[in-house]
Amino acid sequence: MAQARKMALQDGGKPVLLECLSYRVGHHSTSDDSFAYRAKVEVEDWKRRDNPISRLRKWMEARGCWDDSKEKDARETIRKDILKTFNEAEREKKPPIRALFEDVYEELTPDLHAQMKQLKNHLDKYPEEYDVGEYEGGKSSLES
Amino acid sequence: MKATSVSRVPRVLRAAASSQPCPPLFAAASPTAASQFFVAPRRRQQSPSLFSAPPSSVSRRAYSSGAPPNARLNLPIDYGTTPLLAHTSQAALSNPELPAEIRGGATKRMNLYQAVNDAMSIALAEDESVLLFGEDVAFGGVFRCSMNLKDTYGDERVFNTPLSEQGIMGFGIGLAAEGMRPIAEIQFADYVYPAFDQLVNEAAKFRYRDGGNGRHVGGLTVRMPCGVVGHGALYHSQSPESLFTHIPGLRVVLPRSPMQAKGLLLAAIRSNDPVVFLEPKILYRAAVEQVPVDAYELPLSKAEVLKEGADVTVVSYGQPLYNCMSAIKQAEADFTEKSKDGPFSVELIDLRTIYPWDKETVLRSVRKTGRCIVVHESMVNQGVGAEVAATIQEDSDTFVRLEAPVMRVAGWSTHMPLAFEKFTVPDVARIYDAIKTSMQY
Repeated sequence: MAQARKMALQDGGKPVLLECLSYRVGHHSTSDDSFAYRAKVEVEDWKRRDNPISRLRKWMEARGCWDDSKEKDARETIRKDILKTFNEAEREKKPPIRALFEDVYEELTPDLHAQMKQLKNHLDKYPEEYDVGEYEGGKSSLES
Repeated sequence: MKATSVSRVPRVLRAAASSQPCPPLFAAASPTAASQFFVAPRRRQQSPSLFSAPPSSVSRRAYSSGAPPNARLNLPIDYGTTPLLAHTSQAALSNPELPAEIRGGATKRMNLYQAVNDAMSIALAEDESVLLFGEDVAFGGVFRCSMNLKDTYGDERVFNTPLSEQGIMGFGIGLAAEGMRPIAEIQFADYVYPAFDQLVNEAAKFRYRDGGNGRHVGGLTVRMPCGVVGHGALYHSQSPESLFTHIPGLRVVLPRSPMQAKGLLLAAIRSNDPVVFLEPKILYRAAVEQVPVDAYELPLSKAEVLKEGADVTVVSYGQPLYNCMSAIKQAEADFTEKSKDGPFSVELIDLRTIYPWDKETVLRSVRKTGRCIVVHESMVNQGVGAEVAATIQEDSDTFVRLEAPVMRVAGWSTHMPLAFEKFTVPDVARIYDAIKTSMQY
Protein backbone atom coordinates (compact mmCIF):
# COMPACT_ATOMS: atom_id res chain seq x y z
CA MET A 1 0.00 0.00 0.00
CA ALA A 2 2.70 2.47 0.99
CA GLN A 3 4.74 1.55 -2.07
CA ALA A 4 1.66 1.86 -4.29
CA ARG A 5 0.96 5.33 -2.97
CA LYS A 6 4.58 6.31 -3.54
CA MET A 7 4.46 5.06 -7.13
CA ALA A 8 1.14 6.79 -7.78
CA LEU A 9 2.41 10.18 -6.65
CA GLN A 10 5.95 10.42 -8.02
CA ASP A 11 7.03 11.64 -11.48
CA GLY A 12 3.61 12.94 -12.47
CA GLY A 13 1.90 9.86 -11.16
CA LYS A 14 0.81 6.58 -12.62
CA PRO A 15 -2.05 4.21 -11.80
CA VAL A 16 -1.47 1.15 -9.65
CA LEU A 17 -3.63 -1.94 -9.36
CA LEU A 18 -3.79 -3.90 -6.11
CA GLU A 19 -5.72 -7.16 -6.08
CA CYS A 20 -6.30 -8.25 -2.48
CA LEU A 21 -7.31 -11.90 -2.28
CA SER A 22 -9.72 -12.67 0.55
CA TYR A 23 -12.88 -14.57 1.40
CA ARG A 24 -16.32 -13.24 2.29
CA VAL A 25 -17.04 -14.89 5.62
CA GLY A 26 -20.35 -13.23 6.39
CA HIS A 27 -23.46 -13.34 4.26
CA HIS A 28 -23.51 -10.80 1.44
CA SER A 29 -26.08 -8.80 3.43
CA THR A 30 -28.85 -9.24 5.95
CA SER A 31 -31.16 -10.14 3.07
CA ASP A 32 -28.86 -12.92 1.86
CA ASP A 33 -28.57 -16.46 3.21
CA SER A 34 -25.28 -17.52 1.68
CA PHE A 35 -25.63 -21.15 2.80
CA ALA A 36 -28.13 -21.49 -0.02
CA TYR A 37 -25.18 -21.46 -2.42
CA ARG A 38 -22.09 -22.55 -0.42
CA ALA A 39 -21.22 -25.10 2.29
CA LYS A 40 -20.85 -24.04 5.92
CA VAL A 41 -17.60 -25.97 6.23
CA GLU A 42 -16.04 -23.73 3.58
CA VAL A 43 -16.86 -20.67 5.65
CA GLU A 44 -15.63 -22.26 8.89
CA ASP A 45 -12.29 -23.09 7.29
CA TRP A 46 -11.61 -19.47 6.35
CA LYS A 47 -12.94 -18.16 9.63
CA ARG A 48 -10.63 -20.39 11.66
CA ARG A 49 -7.52 -20.72 9.54
CA ASP A 50 -7.05 -17.52 7.65
CA ASN A 51 -8.83 -14.83 9.62
CA PRO A 52 -7.04 -11.44 9.41
CA ILE A 53 -7.92 -10.57 13.01
CA SER A 54 -6.65 -13.89 14.34
CA ARG A 55 -3.45 -13.55 12.32
CA LEU A 56 -2.79 -10.03 13.53
CA ARG A 57 -3.49 -11.07 17.11
CA LYS A 58 -0.99 -13.91 16.88
CA TRP A 59 1.60 -11.60 15.40
CA MET A 60 1.07 -9.03 18.16
CA GLU A 61 1.25 -11.70 20.88
CA ALA A 62 4.47 -13.02 19.37
CA ARG A 63 5.96 -9.53 19.63
CA GLY A 64 4.77 -9.16 23.21
CA CYS A 65 2.45 -6.18 22.68
CA TRP A 66 -0.79 -8.11 23.20
CA ASP A 67 -2.02 -10.73 25.64
CA ASP A 68 -5.17 -12.40 27.00
CA SER A 69 -5.71 -9.67 29.56
CA LYS A 70 -5.62 -6.90 26.95
CA GLU A 71 -7.87 -8.96 24.68
CA LYS A 72 -10.45 -9.35 27.45
CA ASP A 73 -10.35 -5.64 28.34
CA ALA A 74 -10.62 -4.57 24.71
CA ARG A 75 -13.59 -6.83 24.03
CA GLU A 76 -15.45 -5.50 27.08
CA THR A 77 -14.67 -1.86 26.39
CA ILE A 78 -15.52 -2.01 22.71
CA ARG A 79 -18.73 -3.91 23.37
CA LYS A 80 -19.76 -1.39 26.02
CA ASP A 81 -18.98 1.58 23.73
CA ILE A 82 -20.89 0.11 20.81
CA LEU A 83 -23.95 -0.75 22.88
CA LYS A 84 -23.94 2.70 24.46
CA THR A 85 -23.82 4.38 21.04
CA PHE A 86 -26.42 1.96 19.70
CA ASN A 87 -28.84 2.85 22.48
CA GLU A 88 -28.22 6.58 22.01
CA ALA A 89 -28.88 6.26 18.28
CA GLU A 90 -32.10 4.34 18.93
CA ARG A 91 -33.39 7.14 21.16
CA GLU A 92 -32.49 9.89 18.69
CA LYS A 93 -35.15 11.37 16.47
CA LYS A 94 -34.90 10.82 12.75
CA PRO A 95 -33.89 13.82 10.59
CA PRO A 96 -36.55 16.43 9.73
CA ILE A 97 -38.97 15.30 7.02
CA ARG A 98 -37.86 18.38 5.13
CA ALA A 99 -34.57 16.61 4.34
CA LEU A 100 -36.59 14.41 1.98
CA PHE A 101 -36.71 17.35 -0.44
CA GLU A 102 -33.36 19.00 0.21
CA ASP A 103 -30.05 18.48 -1.60
CA VAL A 104 -31.66 17.21 -4.80
CA TYR A 105 -30.32 20.43 -6.30
CA GLU A 106 -28.17 23.05 -4.62
CA GLU A 107 -31.32 25.12 -4.10
CA LEU A 108 -34.88 23.95 -3.57
CA THR A 109 -36.65 24.23 -6.94
CA PRO A 110 -40.18 25.66 -7.21
CA ASP A 111 -41.44 22.15 -7.99
CA LEU A 112 -39.88 20.65 -4.86
CA HIS A 113 -41.07 23.56 -2.77
CA ALA A 114 -44.63 23.07 -4.02
CA GLN A 115 -44.41 19.33 -3.36
CA MET A 116 -43.12 19.92 0.17
CA LYS A 117 -46.13 22.14 0.83
CA GLN A 118 -48.40 19.52 -0.72
CA LEU A 119 -47.08 16.87 1.68
CA LYS A 120 -47.51 19.25 4.63
CA ASN A 121 -51.14 19.87 3.71
CA HIS A 122 -51.71 16.15 3.37
CA LEU A 123 -50.23 15.44 6.82
CA ASP A 124 -52.41 18.21 8.27
CA LYS A 125 -55.44 16.60 6.69
CA TYR A 126 -54.69 13.02 7.78
CA PRO A 127 -52.81 13.30 11.10
CA GLU A 128 -53.96 9.89 12.33
CA GLU A 129 -52.49 8.11 9.30
CA TYR A 130 -48.85 9.09 9.96
CA ASP A 131 -46.55 9.02 12.96
CA VAL A 132 -44.50 12.19 12.57
CA GLY A 133 -43.42 12.27 16.21
CA GLU A 134 -40.24 10.31 15.56
CA TYR A 135 -38.96 12.97 13.16
CA GLU A 136 -37.19 16.12 14.29
CA GLY A 137 -39.63 19.01 14.21
CA GLY A 138 -42.51 16.79 13.13
CA LYS A 139 -44.49 18.04 10.18
CA SER A 140 -43.65 21.68 10.92
CA SER A 141 -40.23 21.15 9.32
CA LEU A 142 -42.12 21.14 6.02
CA GLU A 143 -43.07 24.79 6.43
CA SER A 144 -41.09 27.14 4.20
CA MET B 1 -23.64 -2.66 -27.47
CA LYS B 2 -23.15 -4.75 -30.58
CA ALA B 3 -25.87 -2.90 -32.48
CA THR B 4 -24.38 0.38 -31.38
CA SER B 5 -20.87 -0.51 -32.49
CA VAL B 6 -22.13 -1.66 -35.88
CA SER B 7 -23.53 1.80 -36.63
CA ARG B 8 -20.39 3.67 -35.69
CA VAL B 9 -17.12 4.13 -37.49
CA PRO B 10 -14.68 1.34 -36.60
CA ARG B 11 -12.61 2.63 -33.69
CA VAL B 12 -9.36 2.33 -35.58
CA LEU B 13 -10.58 4.96 -38.05
CA ARG B 14 -11.65 7.30 -35.30
CA ALA B 15 -8.38 6.82 -33.47
CA ALA B 16 -6.56 7.72 -36.66
CA ALA B 17 -8.69 10.83 -37.05
CA SER B 18 -8.07 11.97 -33.51
CA SER B 19 -4.32 11.54 -33.80
CA GLN B 20 -4.09 14.12 -36.57
CA PRO B 21 -3.94 17.80 -35.58
CA CYS B 22 -6.30 18.75 -38.38
CA PRO B 23 -7.63 15.79 -40.41
CA PRO B 24 -8.47 16.81 -43.99
CA LEU B 25 -11.98 15.40 -43.81
CA PHE B 26 -13.07 17.47 -40.86
CA ALA B 27 -11.19 20.56 -41.97
CA ALA B 28 -13.09 20.59 -45.23
CA ALA B 29 -16.39 19.24 -44.04
CA SER B 30 -19.59 20.68 -42.68
CA PRO B 31 -21.29 19.00 -39.72
CA THR B 32 -23.53 17.15 -42.14
CA ALA B 33 -20.45 15.60 -43.68
CA ALA B 34 -19.19 14.76 -40.21
CA SER B 35 -22.45 12.95 -39.66
CA GLN B 36 -22.08 11.22 -43.01
CA PHE B 37 -18.64 10.07 -41.99
CA PHE B 38 -20.23 8.08 -39.19
CA VAL B 39 -23.38 6.99 -40.93
CA ALA B 40 -22.30 6.16 -44.47
CA PRO B 41 -18.62 6.63 -45.34
CA ARG B 42 -19.45 6.27 -49.04
CA ARG B 43 -21.13 9.65 -48.93
CA ARG B 44 -17.76 11.28 -48.58
CA GLN B 45 -17.95 11.31 -52.37
CA GLN B 46 -20.47 14.15 -52.21
CA SER B 47 -19.53 17.15 -54.30
CA PRO B 48 -17.34 19.60 -52.32
CA SER B 49 -19.39 22.52 -53.60
CA LEU B 50 -22.24 21.27 -51.44
CA PHE B 51 -20.42 22.39 -48.33
CA SER B 52 -19.85 25.91 -49.56
CA ALA B 53 -23.57 26.48 -50.09
CA PRO B 54 -25.21 29.26 -48.05
CA PRO B 55 -26.32 28.34 -44.49
CA SER B 56 -30.00 28.41 -45.39
CA SER B 57 -29.51 25.36 -47.57
CA VAL B 58 -28.37 23.31 -44.58
CA SER B 59 -31.78 22.02 -43.63
CA ARG B 60 -33.52 18.74 -43.10
CA ARG B 61 -34.01 18.50 -46.88
CA ALA B 62 -30.44 19.22 -47.90
CA TYR B 63 -30.24 15.80 -49.55
CA SER B 64 -33.75 15.55 -50.94
CA SER B 65 -35.08 17.13 -54.10
CA GLY B 66 -36.37 20.09 -52.08
CA ALA B 67 -39.96 21.00 -51.26
CA PRO B 68 -42.71 19.53 -53.46
CA PRO B 69 -43.53 22.00 -56.25
CA ASN B 70 -46.94 22.97 -54.87
CA ALA B 71 -45.98 23.03 -51.20
CA ARG B 72 -47.12 26.14 -49.39
CA LEU B 73 -46.22 25.27 -45.82
CA ASN B 74 -43.32 22.80 -45.81
CA LEU B 75 -40.75 25.11 -47.32
CA PRO B 76 -37.14 25.10 -46.16
CA ILE B 77 -36.51 27.33 -43.15
CA ASP B 78 -34.80 30.52 -44.23
CA TYR B 79 -32.41 31.01 -41.33
CA GLY B 80 -31.22 34.20 -42.95
CA THR B 81 -34.52 35.97 -42.31
CA THR B 82 -36.32 34.15 -39.49
CA PRO B 83 -37.20 36.55 -36.66
CA LEU B 84 -35.96 33.94 -34.18
CA LEU B 85 -32.39 34.99 -34.93
CA ALA B 86 -30.79 38.38 -34.26
CA HIS B 87 -29.59 39.44 -37.70
CA THR B 88 -28.31 42.82 -36.55
CA SER B 89 -26.20 43.94 -33.64
CA GLN B 90 -29.08 46.12 -32.50
CA ALA B 91 -31.49 43.18 -32.49
CA ALA B 92 -29.07 41.12 -30.39
CA LEU B 93 -28.37 43.85 -27.86
CA SER B 94 -32.03 44.74 -27.38
CA ASN B 95 -32.56 41.45 -25.52
CA PRO B 96 -33.82 42.52 -22.06
CA GLU B 97 -32.27 39.47 -20.42
CA LEU B 98 -28.76 40.69 -21.16
CA PRO B 99 -26.88 42.61 -18.45
CA ALA B 100 -26.55 46.37 -19.00
CA GLU B 101 -22.81 46.29 -19.72
CA ILE B 102 -23.36 43.65 -22.40
CA ARG B 103 -26.19 45.59 -24.01
CA GLY B 104 -23.78 48.45 -24.50
CA GLY B 105 -21.00 46.26 -25.87
CA ALA B 106 -19.99 44.71 -29.17
CA THR B 107 -21.39 41.75 -31.07
CA LYS B 108 -19.96 39.34 -33.61
CA ARG B 109 -21.61 37.16 -36.22
CA MET B 110 -21.53 33.54 -35.03
CA ASN B 111 -23.19 30.26 -35.84
CA LEU B 112 -24.13 27.79 -33.13
CA TYR B 113 -20.86 25.87 -33.01
CA GLN B 114 -18.88 29.10 -32.88
CA ALA B 115 -21.01 30.37 -30.00
CA VAL B 116 -20.47 27.12 -28.10
CA ASN B 117 -16.74 27.42 -28.79
CA ASP B 118 -16.76 31.02 -27.57
CA ALA B 119 -18.60 30.11 -24.35
CA MET B 120 -16.14 27.31 -23.59
CA SER B 121 -13.19 29.56 -24.39
CA ILE B 122 -14.46 32.18 -21.94
CA ALA B 123 -15.04 29.54 -19.27
CA LEU B 124 -11.57 28.03 -19.75
CA ALA B 125 -10.00 31.50 -19.64
CA GLU B 126 -11.74 32.72 -16.51
CA ASP B 127 -11.54 29.60 -14.34
CA GLU B 128 -8.63 27.18 -14.16
CA SER B 129 -10.86 24.46 -12.75
CA VAL B 130 -12.71 24.23 -16.09
CA LEU B 131 -11.62 21.34 -18.34
CA LEU B 132 -12.99 19.98 -21.61
CA PHE B 133 -12.69 16.36 -22.71
CA GLY B 134 -14.39 13.67 -24.72
CA GLU B 135 -13.88 11.74 -27.94
CA ASP B 136 -11.95 13.73 -30.58
CA VAL B 137 -12.28 17.11 -28.86
CA ALA B 138 -8.54 17.84 -29.02
CA PHE B 139 -8.35 18.61 -32.74
CA GLY B 140 -11.56 20.63 -32.60
CA GLY B 141 -14.30 18.05 -32.30
CA VAL B 142 -16.37 16.44 -35.03
CA PHE B 143 -18.60 19.55 -35.15
CA ARG B 144 -15.77 22.02 -34.54
CA CYS B 145 -17.11 23.14 -31.17
CA SER B 146 -13.65 22.86 -29.58
CA MET B 147 -11.57 24.37 -32.42
CA ASN B 148 -8.30 25.93 -31.15
CA LEU B 149 -9.13 25.35 -27.49
CA LYS B 150 -6.36 22.82 -26.93
CA ASP B 151 -3.78 25.11 -28.52
CA THR B 152 -4.95 28.05 -26.41
CA TYR B 153 -5.48 26.39 -23.03
CA GLY B 154 -3.19 23.36 -23.17
CA ASP B 155 -3.56 19.64 -23.55
CA GLU B 156 -3.95 19.11 -19.82
CA ARG B 157 -7.24 21.04 -19.93
CA VAL B 158 -8.56 20.15 -23.39
CA PHE B 159 -7.94 16.52 -24.25
CA ASN B 160 -9.20 13.32 -25.84
CA THR B 161 -10.40 10.42 -23.74
CA PRO B 162 -10.54 6.73 -24.63
CA LEU B 163 -13.71 5.79 -26.52
CA SER B 164 -15.87 4.96 -23.53
CA GLU B 165 -18.94 7.01 -22.61
CA GLN B 166 -19.29 5.50 -19.15
CA GLY B 167 -15.62 6.28 -18.55
CA ILE B 168 -16.06 9.88 -19.77
CA MET B 169 -19.00 10.39 -17.43
CA GLY B 170 -17.45 8.71 -14.40
CA PHE B 171 -14.24 10.65 -14.99
CA GLY B 172 -16.20 13.92 -15.10
CA ILE B 173 -18.06 13.02 -11.92
CA GLY B 174 -14.77 12.33 -10.16
CA LEU B 175 -13.38 15.71 -11.22
CA ALA B 176 -16.53 17.55 -10.16
CA ALA B 177 -16.56 15.75 -6.80
CA GLU B 178 -13.12 17.27 -6.20
CA GLY B 179 -14.35 20.77 -7.00
CA MET B 180 -13.41 21.01 -10.67
CA ARG B 181 -15.77 22.21 -13.41
CA PRO B 182 -15.46 19.57 -16.16
CA ILE B 183 -17.21 19.91 -19.52
CA ALA B 184 -17.70 16.34 -20.72
CA GLU B 185 -18.65 15.91 -24.35
CA ILE B 186 -20.67 12.94 -25.56
CA GLN B 187 -20.15 12.96 -29.31
CA PHE B 188 -23.81 12.29 -30.19
CA ALA B 189 -26.74 12.24 -27.77
CA ASP B 190 -27.50 8.81 -29.22
CA TYR B 191 -24.39 7.47 -27.45
CA VAL B 192 -25.10 8.79 -23.97
CA TYR B 193 -26.80 5.53 -22.96
CA PRO B 194 -23.59 3.67 -22.01
CA ALA B 195 -23.14 6.53 -19.49
CA PHE B 196 -26.71 6.46 -18.23
CA ASP B 197 -25.93 4.62 -15.02
CA GLN B 198 -23.22 7.16 -14.16
CA LEU B 199 -25.63 10.03 -14.83
CA VAL B 200 -28.67 8.61 -13.06
CA ASN B 201 -27.21 6.72 -10.12
CA GLU B 202 -24.11 8.84 -9.49
CA ALA B 203 -24.16 12.40 -10.84
CA ALA B 204 -27.81 13.09 -10.09
CA LYS B 205 -27.82 11.56 -6.61
CA PHE B 206 -24.37 12.57 -5.38
CA ARG B 207 -25.39 15.61 -3.32
CA TYR B 208 -28.58 14.02 -2.00
CA ARG B 209 -26.76 10.86 -0.94
CA ASP B 210 -23.92 12.84 0.65
CA GLY B 211 -26.39 14.76 2.80
CA GLY B 212 -24.81 16.77 5.59
CA ASN B 213 -21.30 16.02 4.37
CA GLY B 214 -21.93 18.63 1.71
CA ARG B 215 -20.03 17.09 -1.21
CA HIS B 216 -21.58 17.41 -4.67
CA VAL B 217 -20.79 17.25 -8.38
CA GLY B 218 -22.42 20.57 -9.24
CA GLY B 219 -19.50 21.57 -11.45
CA LEU B 220 -20.30 18.91 -14.05
CA THR B 221 -21.64 19.92 -17.47
CA VAL B 222 -22.37 17.25 -20.09
CA ARG B 223 -22.66 18.54 -23.66
CA MET B 224 -24.05 16.49 -26.53
CA PRO B 225 -25.28 17.16 -30.08
CA CYS B 226 -28.92 16.13 -30.50
CA GLY B 227 -31.82 16.20 -32.92
CA VAL B 228 -32.38 15.38 -36.57
CA VAL B 229 -29.99 16.47 -39.28
CA GLY B 230 -31.68 15.21 -42.42
CA HIS B 231 -30.11 11.78 -42.67
CA GLY B 232 -28.87 10.75 -39.24
CA ALA B 233 -31.18 7.72 -39.06
CA LEU B 234 -31.34 5.70 -35.83
CA TYR B 235 -28.14 6.71 -34.09
CA HIS B 236 -27.45 10.31 -35.12
CA SER B 237 -30.86 11.92 -34.70
CA GLN B 238 -32.08 11.26 -31.20
CA SER B 239 -33.48 13.81 -28.77
CA PRO B 240 -33.27 12.10 -25.38
CA GLU B 241 -34.14 15.15 -23.25
CA SER B 242 -37.28 13.47 -21.89
CA LEU B 243 -35.21 10.70 -20.37
CA PHE B 244 -33.17 13.22 -18.40
CA THR B 245 -36.21 15.11 -17.15
CA HIS B 246 -37.24 12.09 -15.13
CA ILE B 247 -34.01 12.26 -13.12
CA PRO B 248 -34.15 14.58 -10.08
CA GLY B 249 -30.80 16.25 -9.54
CA LEU B 250 -30.00 17.00 -13.19
CA ARG B 251 -30.74 20.21 -15.03
CA VAL B 252 -31.63 19.76 -18.70
CA VAL B 253 -31.00 22.67 -21.07
CA LEU B 254 -31.55 22.94 -24.84
CA PRO B 255 -30.81 26.22 -26.71
CA ARG B 256 -32.42 27.46 -29.93
CA SER B 257 -29.75 29.81 -31.30
CA PRO B 258 -26.10 30.91 -31.04
CA MET B 259 -26.79 33.76 -28.61
CA GLN B 260 -28.93 31.51 -26.44
CA ALA B 261 -26.36 28.72 -26.55
CA LYS B 262 -23.53 30.95 -25.36
CA GLY B 263 -25.47 32.46 -22.45
CA LEU B 264 -27.10 29.21 -21.37
CA LEU B 265 -23.88 27.19 -21.63
CA LEU B 266 -21.97 29.69 -19.50
CA ALA B 267 -24.79 29.55 -16.94
CA ALA B 268 -24.59 25.75 -17.01
CA ILE B 269 -20.81 25.68 -16.50
CA ARG B 270 -21.07 28.12 -13.59
CA SER B 271 -24.12 26.40 -12.07
CA ASN B 272 -23.62 24.35 -8.93
CA ASP B 273 -25.88 21.58 -10.19
CA PRO B 274 -24.92 19.01 -12.84
CA VAL B 275 -26.31 20.10 -16.22
CA VAL B 276 -27.08 18.10 -19.35
CA PHE B 277 -26.67 20.52 -22.26
CA LEU B 278 -28.13 19.39 -25.59
CA GLU B 279 -27.11 21.14 -28.82
CA PRO B 280 -29.39 20.81 -31.89
CA LYS B 281 -26.76 19.84 -34.43
CA ILE B 282 -28.73 20.86 -37.51
CA LEU B 283 -28.27 24.42 -36.23
CA TYR B 284 -24.52 24.21 -35.71
CA ARG B 285 -23.90 25.94 -39.04
CA ALA B 286 -27.40 26.89 -40.16
CA ALA B 287 -28.29 29.26 -37.32
CA VAL B 288 -26.20 32.44 -37.65
CA GLU B 289 -26.75 35.63 -35.69
CA GLN B 290 -25.03 38.49 -33.92
CA VAL B 291 -23.76 37.34 -30.51
CA PRO B 292 -22.36 39.60 -27.76
CA VAL B 293 -18.60 39.03 -27.64
CA ASP B 294 -18.19 39.34 -23.86
CA ALA B 295 -19.27 36.88 -21.19
CA TYR B 296 -22.93 36.77 -20.20
CA GLU B 297 -25.32 34.26 -18.69
CA LEU B 298 -28.93 33.63 -19.56
CA PRO B 299 -31.15 32.32 -16.76
CA LEU B 300 -31.66 28.59 -16.26
CA SER B 301 -35.17 27.27 -15.53
CA LYS B 302 -36.67 30.31 -17.25
CA ALA B 303 -38.75 30.11 -20.42
CA GLU B 304 -38.84 32.96 -22.92
CA VAL B 305 -41.90 34.34 -24.69
CA LEU B 306 -40.59 34.79 -28.24
CA LYS B 307 -43.75 36.25 -29.67
CA GLU B 308 -46.86 37.59 -27.92
CA GLY B 309 -50.27 36.36 -29.00
CA ALA B 310 -53.85 36.23 -27.77
CA ASP B 311 -55.46 33.08 -29.19
CA VAL B 312 -53.12 30.07 -28.98
CA THR B 313 -49.98 29.28 -27.00
CA VAL B 314 -47.32 27.21 -28.76
CA VAL B 315 -44.60 25.72 -26.53
CA SER B 316 -41.42 24.24 -27.94
CA TYR B 317 -37.61 24.30 -27.78
CA GLY B 318 -34.60 23.77 -30.04
CA GLN B 319 -34.88 23.57 -33.82
CA PRO B 320 -38.67 22.88 -33.93
CA LEU B 321 -39.17 26.50 -32.85
CA TYR B 322 -38.24 27.59 -36.37
CA ASN B 323 -40.94 25.32 -37.81
CA CYS B 324 -43.37 26.75 -35.25
CA MET B 325 -42.56 30.30 -36.31
CA SER B 326 -43.18 29.45 -39.97
CA ALA B 327 -46.47 27.74 -39.14
CA ILE B 328 -47.58 30.65 -36.96
CA LYS B 329 -46.79 33.19 -39.64
CA GLN B 330 -48.87 31.27 -42.16
CA ALA B 331 -51.70 30.62 -39.69
CA GLU B 332 -51.94 34.28 -38.74
CA ALA B 333 -52.20 35.14 -42.43
CA ASP B 334 -54.83 32.49 -43.17
CA PHE B 335 -57.08 32.47 -40.09
CA THR B 336 -59.28 35.54 -40.12
CA GLU B 337 -62.65 34.08 -39.13
CA LYS B 338 -61.87 33.31 -35.50
CA SER B 339 -60.30 35.93 -33.33
CA LYS B 340 -61.07 37.92 -30.22
CA ASP B 341 -59.96 41.46 -29.43
CA GLY B 342 -58.38 41.97 -32.83
CA PRO B 343 -56.60 39.86 -35.43
CA PHE B 344 -55.87 36.20 -34.76
CA SER B 345 -52.50 35.85 -33.03
CA VAL B 346 -50.35 33.07 -31.60
CA GLU B 347 -47.98 33.23 -28.64
CA LEU B 348 -44.70 31.28 -28.98
CA ILE B 349 -42.69 30.14 -25.95
CA ASP B 350 -39.21 28.64 -25.86
CA LEU B 351 -38.85 26.43 -22.76
CA ARG B 352 -35.02 26.56 -22.94
CA THR B 353 -34.62 24.61 -19.71
CA ILE B 354 -36.57 21.38 -20.08
CA TYR B 355 -36.20 20.52 -16.39
CA PRO B 356 -36.65 22.03 -13.84
CA TRP B 357 -38.90 23.94 -16.20
CA ASP B 358 -40.66 27.28 -16.00
CA LYS B 359 -44.26 26.33 -15.30
CA GLU B 360 -45.41 29.81 -14.41
CA THR B 361 -44.57 31.36 -17.78
CA VAL B 362 -46.45 28.62 -19.63
CA LEU B 363 -49.45 28.63 -17.29
CA ARG B 364 -49.75 32.41 -17.44
CA SER B 365 -49.74 32.29 -21.22
CA VAL B 366 -52.35 29.52 -21.44
CA ARG B 367 -54.59 31.37 -18.96
CA LYS B 368 -54.51 34.24 -21.43
CA THR B 369 -55.00 32.31 -24.68
CA GLY B 370 -57.07 29.32 -23.53
CA ARG B 371 -55.30 26.94 -25.95
CA CYS B 372 -51.96 25.16 -25.95
CA ILE B 373 -49.92 23.16 -28.46
CA VAL B 374 -46.62 21.56 -27.47
CA VAL B 375 -44.13 20.73 -30.20
CA HIS B 376 -41.05 18.52 -29.92
CA GLU B 377 -39.04 16.23 -32.15
CA SER B 378 -38.76 13.25 -29.85
CA MET B 379 -41.53 10.67 -29.52
CA VAL B 380 -44.93 11.83 -28.45
CA ASN B 381 -45.30 9.08 -25.82
CA GLN B 382 -44.05 10.21 -22.41
CA GLY B 383 -42.55 13.29 -24.04
CA VAL B 384 -42.18 16.82 -22.73
CA GLY B 385 -45.63 17.56 -24.16
CA ALA B 386 -47.15 15.05 -21.75
CA GLU B 387 -45.63 16.85 -18.76
CA VAL B 388 -46.78 20.26 -20.01
CA ALA B 389 -50.30 19.01 -20.74
CA ALA B 390 -50.67 17.34 -17.34
CA THR B 391 -49.40 20.44 -15.55
CA ILE B 392 -51.89 22.67 -17.38
CA GLN B 393 -54.74 20.35 -16.49
CA GLU B 394 -53.72 20.10 -12.83
CA ASP B 395 -53.61 23.85 -12.35
CA SER B 396 -57.13 24.87 -11.37
CA ASP B 397 -56.83 28.45 -12.66
CA THR B 398 -55.54 27.29 -16.03
CA PHE B 399 -57.74 24.24 -16.50
CA VAL B 400 -60.94 26.30 -16.34
CA ARG B 401 -59.58 28.53 -19.08
CA LEU B 402 -59.00 25.75 -21.62
CA GLU B 403 -61.08 26.14 -24.79
CA ALA B 404 -59.61 23.03 -26.40
CA PRO B 405 -57.56 20.02 -25.29
CA VAL B 406 -53.82 20.55 -25.03
CA MET B 407 -52.40 19.27 -28.30
CA ARG B 408 -49.03 17.66 -28.97
CA VAL B 409 -47.19 17.71 -32.29
CA ALA B 410 -44.22 15.39 -31.95
CA GLY B 411 -42.29 12.51 -33.43
CA TRP B 412 -44.22 9.27 -33.82
CA SER B 413 -43.61 6.47 -31.36
CA THR B 414 -41.00 4.90 -33.61
CA HIS B 415 -37.25 5.07 -34.02
CA MET B 416 -35.93 7.81 -36.29
CA PRO B 417 -35.97 6.32 -39.78
CA LEU B 418 -33.46 7.17 -42.49
CA ALA B 419 -35.80 7.20 -45.46
CA PHE B 420 -38.89 8.63 -43.73
CA GLU B 421 -37.45 11.41 -41.60
CA LYS B 422 -39.56 14.06 -43.27
CA PHE B 423 -42.76 12.24 -42.32
CA THR B 424 -41.61 11.87 -38.71
CA VAL B 425 -40.48 15.30 -37.56
CA PRO B 426 -43.09 17.89 -36.53
CA ASP B 427 -42.97 19.93 -39.73
CA VAL B 428 -44.62 23.23 -40.56
CA ALA B 429 -47.75 21.64 -42.04
CA ARG B 430 -48.39 19.49 -38.97
CA ILE B 431 -47.95 22.44 -36.62
CA TYR B 432 -50.17 24.61 -38.82
CA ASP B 433 -52.82 21.87 -38.77
CA ALA B 434 -52.68 21.64 -34.98
CA ILE B 435 -53.22 25.40 -34.67
CA LYS B 436 -56.19 25.10 -37.01
CA THR B 437 -57.65 22.10 -35.17
CA SER B 438 -57.27 23.79 -31.80
CA MET B 439 -59.02 26.93 -33.06
CA GLN B 440 -61.85 24.93 -34.62
CA TYR B 441 -62.40 22.70 -31.58
